[in-house]
Amino acid sequence: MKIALYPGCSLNSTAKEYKMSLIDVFRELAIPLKELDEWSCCSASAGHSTDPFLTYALCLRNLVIAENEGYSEITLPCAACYNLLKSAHNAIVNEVPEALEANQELQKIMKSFYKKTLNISHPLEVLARVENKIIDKVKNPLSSLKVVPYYGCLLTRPREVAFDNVEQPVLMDNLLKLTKAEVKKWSYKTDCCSGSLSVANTPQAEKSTSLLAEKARQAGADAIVTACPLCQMTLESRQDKDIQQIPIFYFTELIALSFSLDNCKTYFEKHLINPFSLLNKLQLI
Amino acid sequence: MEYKEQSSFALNLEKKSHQPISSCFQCAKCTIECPMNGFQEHKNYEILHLIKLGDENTVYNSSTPYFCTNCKTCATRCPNGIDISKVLDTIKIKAKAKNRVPKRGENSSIFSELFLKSMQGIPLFGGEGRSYELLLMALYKLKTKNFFADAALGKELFKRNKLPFLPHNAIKIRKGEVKNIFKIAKERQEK
Repeated sequence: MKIALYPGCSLNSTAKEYKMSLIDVFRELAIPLKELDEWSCCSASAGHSTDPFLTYALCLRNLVIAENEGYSEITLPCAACYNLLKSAHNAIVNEVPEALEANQELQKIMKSFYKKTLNISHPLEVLARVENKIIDKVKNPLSSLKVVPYYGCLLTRPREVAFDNVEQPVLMDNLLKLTKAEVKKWSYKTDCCSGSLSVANTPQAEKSTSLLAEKARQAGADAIVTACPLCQMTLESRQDKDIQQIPIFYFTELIALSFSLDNCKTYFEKHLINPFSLLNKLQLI
Repeated sequence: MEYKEQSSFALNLEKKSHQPISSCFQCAKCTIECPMNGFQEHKNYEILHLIKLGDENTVYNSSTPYFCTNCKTCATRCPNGIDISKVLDTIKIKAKAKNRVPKRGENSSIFSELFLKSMQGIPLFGGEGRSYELLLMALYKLKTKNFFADAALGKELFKRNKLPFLPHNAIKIRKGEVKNIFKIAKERQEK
């Protein structure tokens, strides 16, 4: 069954390397994936802090397109998109008035409405289903690399939206272990990076990201691994510049690196914090 | 201030946010775990208490709602099932409609407004339905008059081809749908 990919705006701009590595890894594992045609922005935090009806309508629009095109699963690599679209799905299931109203309006605008048939997933969940396939593909074990997995907020909260344990998610830990990377324990995997206020309230984001980087270092990690374009961007751009900065990877990039895929260098060249010195030192690239 | 059993302000916010504000018993779990508690003018549980007291002025003048990153930690911790971030969102929506956004909340309010504007496309250039980062940042700088913030970051992103120069013109067959959604939402707000 083909899975619909909803990349979200970030994956076409600040998180291009996430999209490239995600598509490469899915292709290598022969998981059929196709970008959803004519998708539109989920409206992110600007939406829900302005008008819940508007947010539901914008999110449901994408779900309607996916349903009409015959998909049964839609996967969302961006944590904010994942959270909002899954919340919109839940709101229809739980009959939240604004969501039902938005669905009715979509019938007028799109001649169709959302029928609650989709499975809404994050790529972490999709990859966790094919663990054996991943083990077979690992050619370049990342055994010298010490990492901490960072889930952030929107993949793990609130409870109804989370795909894993709210307090102690382990999906990404398990996937990274398959690449043979050394996964360090730390207590900050679900803390907030302040991504949604990175522009409007920069000092707050600088405080959060510097704390995360410090704690990752204390845990003995060389890098932080994320599954969200906003976390990656905020952790790279707002991290304390006066001390040695810690590289931030997408989990898909590290899986691609363990598969020895050709495009790895292209992903890493797009990073704001250069990861090459670390990867060269560990002879991984 | 005189305590009222259930202020109309509290009832209205409960209804609009779909959150059981009145069941808050001030355990402060929402605040202990809040990553923003160091930045808050009023703590989360204080906001809930002020709402219950019906103290509209203090609630609207507080910058607390504008420092919420919507991380949902409070929603996960609250023993009474209150998603405080949704209460704070509702305060922001009402403050905006009443033109009462406090000074310290302006930046985040402007950012949200421009974000939504940028995804509606611009005449001649198009771009309906997707956020257009360059326009968003340009308008944000004009509005907040802070021209040099993040200039270096912008340059680095540009160098790495991560800040597209033109809007994403990807919606071709279903043109107008997103604009219609915005139109209906606006009509609904004005009702």
